[in-house]
Amino acid sequence: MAYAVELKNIKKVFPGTVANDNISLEVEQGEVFAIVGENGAGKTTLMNILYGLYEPDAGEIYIFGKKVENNSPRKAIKLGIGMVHQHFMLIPKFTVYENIVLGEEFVKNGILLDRNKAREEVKRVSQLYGLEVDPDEKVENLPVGIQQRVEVVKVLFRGAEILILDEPTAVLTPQETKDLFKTIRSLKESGKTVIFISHKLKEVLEIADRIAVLKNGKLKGIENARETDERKLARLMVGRDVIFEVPKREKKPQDVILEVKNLVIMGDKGIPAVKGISFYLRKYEILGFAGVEGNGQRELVEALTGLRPVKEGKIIIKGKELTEFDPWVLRRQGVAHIPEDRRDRGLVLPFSVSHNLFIGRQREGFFSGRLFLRKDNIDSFSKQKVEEYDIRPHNPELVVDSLSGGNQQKVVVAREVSYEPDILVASQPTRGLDVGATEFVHEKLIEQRDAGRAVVLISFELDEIMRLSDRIAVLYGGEIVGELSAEEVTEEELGLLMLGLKRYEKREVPA
Amino acid sequence: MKEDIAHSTGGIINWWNSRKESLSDYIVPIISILFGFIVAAILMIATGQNPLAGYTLLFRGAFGSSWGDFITLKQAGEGLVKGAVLTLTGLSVAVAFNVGLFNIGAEGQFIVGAIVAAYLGFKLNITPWINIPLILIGVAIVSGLYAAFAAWLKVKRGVNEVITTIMLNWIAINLVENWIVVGPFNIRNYQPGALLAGTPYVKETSRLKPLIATSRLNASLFIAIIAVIFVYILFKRTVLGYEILATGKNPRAARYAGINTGRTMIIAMFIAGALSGISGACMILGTEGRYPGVFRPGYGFDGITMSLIGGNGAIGTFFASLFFGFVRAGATNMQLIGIHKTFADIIQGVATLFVASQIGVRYLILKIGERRKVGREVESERI
Repeated sequence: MAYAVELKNIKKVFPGTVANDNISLEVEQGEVFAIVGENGAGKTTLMNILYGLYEPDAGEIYIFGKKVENNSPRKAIKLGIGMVHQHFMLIPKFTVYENIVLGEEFVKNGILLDRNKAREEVKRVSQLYGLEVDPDEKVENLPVGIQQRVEVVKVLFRGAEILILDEPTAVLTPQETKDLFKTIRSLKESGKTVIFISHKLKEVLEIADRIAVLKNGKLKGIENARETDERKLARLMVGRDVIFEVPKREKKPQDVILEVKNLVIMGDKGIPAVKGISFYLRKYEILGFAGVEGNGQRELVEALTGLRPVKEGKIIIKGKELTEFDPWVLRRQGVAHIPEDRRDRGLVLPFSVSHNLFIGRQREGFFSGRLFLRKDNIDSFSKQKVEEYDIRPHNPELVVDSLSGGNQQKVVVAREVSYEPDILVASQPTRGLDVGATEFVHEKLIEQRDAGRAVVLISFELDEIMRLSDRIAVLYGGEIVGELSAEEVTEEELGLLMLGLKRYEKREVPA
Repeated sequence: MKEDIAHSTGGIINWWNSRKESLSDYIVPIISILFGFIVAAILMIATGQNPLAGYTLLFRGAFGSSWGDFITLKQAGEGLVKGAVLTLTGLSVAVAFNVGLFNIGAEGQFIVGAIVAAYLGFKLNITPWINIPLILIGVAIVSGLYAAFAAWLKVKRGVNEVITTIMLNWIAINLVENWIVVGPFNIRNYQPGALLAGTPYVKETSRLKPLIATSRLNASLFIAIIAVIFVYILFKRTVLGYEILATGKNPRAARYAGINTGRTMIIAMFIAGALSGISGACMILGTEGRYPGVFRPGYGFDGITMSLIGGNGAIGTFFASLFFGFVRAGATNMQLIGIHKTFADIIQGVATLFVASQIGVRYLILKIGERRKVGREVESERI
């Protein structure tokens, strides 16, 4: 039997970089084939070539044994390839069935939309593959997991035999991921071929039959999922051994340094986004906030760092109640902040690395006199940070915008850590980073904790929360629905709390 | 993104990319000014004039018809004085721009500065070395506050500075020209029956006197040069300049990092207002000698053009201003063959238009210099 997909010597060069370097691989019909690699390894380029969005500079593509010439998305769809993008291509105001038939509408009497037929067809397809969706619900009312399912149905509706899923779990909770994997398995049973792109090794090992590893545009190997493990894959991906368990010194939390009492914070729409939460934080510990995006995390972070006013409640730092809420006030109180969006808040992109490394501290005696910047000190400081944090390229005069995401984040982390803060608020510190950079940031956070600092960690990545935190609080609907110690918690339980299916009574905060 | 890739592959591409960028920084204004001359030439032809003859006269008007004229600054002085006044309003707009504010109010600040200079110049009468600095300090404070008010409204109330500075322009114009100059500070209050409109002359000790007998060049050029150096150092070396730039380039990051962005905006706008005000003072203490009855030379608005063409930097603004100072001074000479001097405005206007659409011009330059197709795909791949 012919392979579902056969790529032969695919090469794609972008100016200055080889995105795909002579890649050959075969995907068998009916298998789940995963492609892993760090950001920029060439996964997406390869899939875009398969889907007809890019034309390869060299190489051949065979679909079910037939050579594809002049590929285009239209042609790819005709040949049975369907792609579910990381960012959904759905119209929120349309219903599920309207979204699914869009572009392939049924017509009656020459001009009219045949809504009934559309609805029935959508039902038929979704039942055929066991993908329950309500055809009449508006997409905007659906949770992310179901929206993704709608995307899958849409692709199947167009007759896809080969489904490409681009980082499908990036936006899902653990429960939703489980549902997705169920879907993938049932697709496999009905003979579909699934290509699964990811950088999460655990998931790939769970769902895939075979795993291809890309690094710097080159195929580093194809492994059988049953015969490999996380370590082996990571070594192929990064080119060196990766430590998964961040070594953590024994817990020795000391005095309470931050207390939050009945905090109410308004969201952008003028309704409370955080509804009376209380918690405390001690030196030598990391408090992780788990939760699905949009449950008050952003507002909480902004309030803790002075970027958003507090409506009600108290924030007490080192025994003193805060009365002013401004970033410069909070920073003077010893609060540093790794923001969720480094490009939006964390960095002044047109500035050099050097100038970004001390922004906010420019009035300190080391960096300036009364009027003038101390160029020598700034230069030596930034040179030292660039070395210490291995910010590449090793040139502090480069415009920070020209650095890769991982190196940009290193600039932010270097600066915030250099404040030597009492409290470090880290909001999604590894968003969009690859394995190597993520590992680095994690090490730094642990290092901060072990140095006696108190760390607040907000993340949508459960793995990250569980790996780093000493205590975990779960935010749901602007409230803390559970606060657990990291040792006693399970992923399942966190998932239930995050989805609001379970909640604990409020615990009293020690005075 | 492009640079990112370049770094990973090595120096040469990187060098070329950065070179290309900085080259186009200069090329865009120069090409735009050339376009200005070409368009004006076409219009001269369309009105039956000879642009070559016109431009020859313009050049002679600006620099003199012989080397000797140039040395004695016979004509060139006029261009330098105009250039100095333009430099100051240009710097005003540039400083505001670098903090992220669009100072359309340079005209109003200029007028406020002019009337304050006329008043203080009339009242104070010590030696020039004390008189003039005192006047300039007074002018800087009043005009600075006038401009800072717009920034304050923006910071405290969120009012768009474009709207407030335009309104402040009209307040200044009407308050000064329709009240102060014709009313309480009119020359006739001091010299009954005077045949002049406007305010009385400032004291001799307040005048910026011509430096050379043959030319109108006065000390405003030095004031402008000091201002250029001040602004240059402000942005290159000082803490405040660093804070202004950070606030202008990414206010969210600046605030997050603990910079008091509101205060920084107000201070930057104060500096901007002070510069425009000093520009007006130079005009009064130098060229005019008093606030005349009809005075709306538009130097404030021209400042926007100078800053734009000069790339919002101190040095660039200085050269743009000197250049157009010469063009304006020389343009008067074109009237000898019946070409109206407002053709200078056409050159300036067209050049501004092109610089303002510089993204387009830049794109054209890059396009021409590029043989390979640079795919936008690179970006989407790396995100």
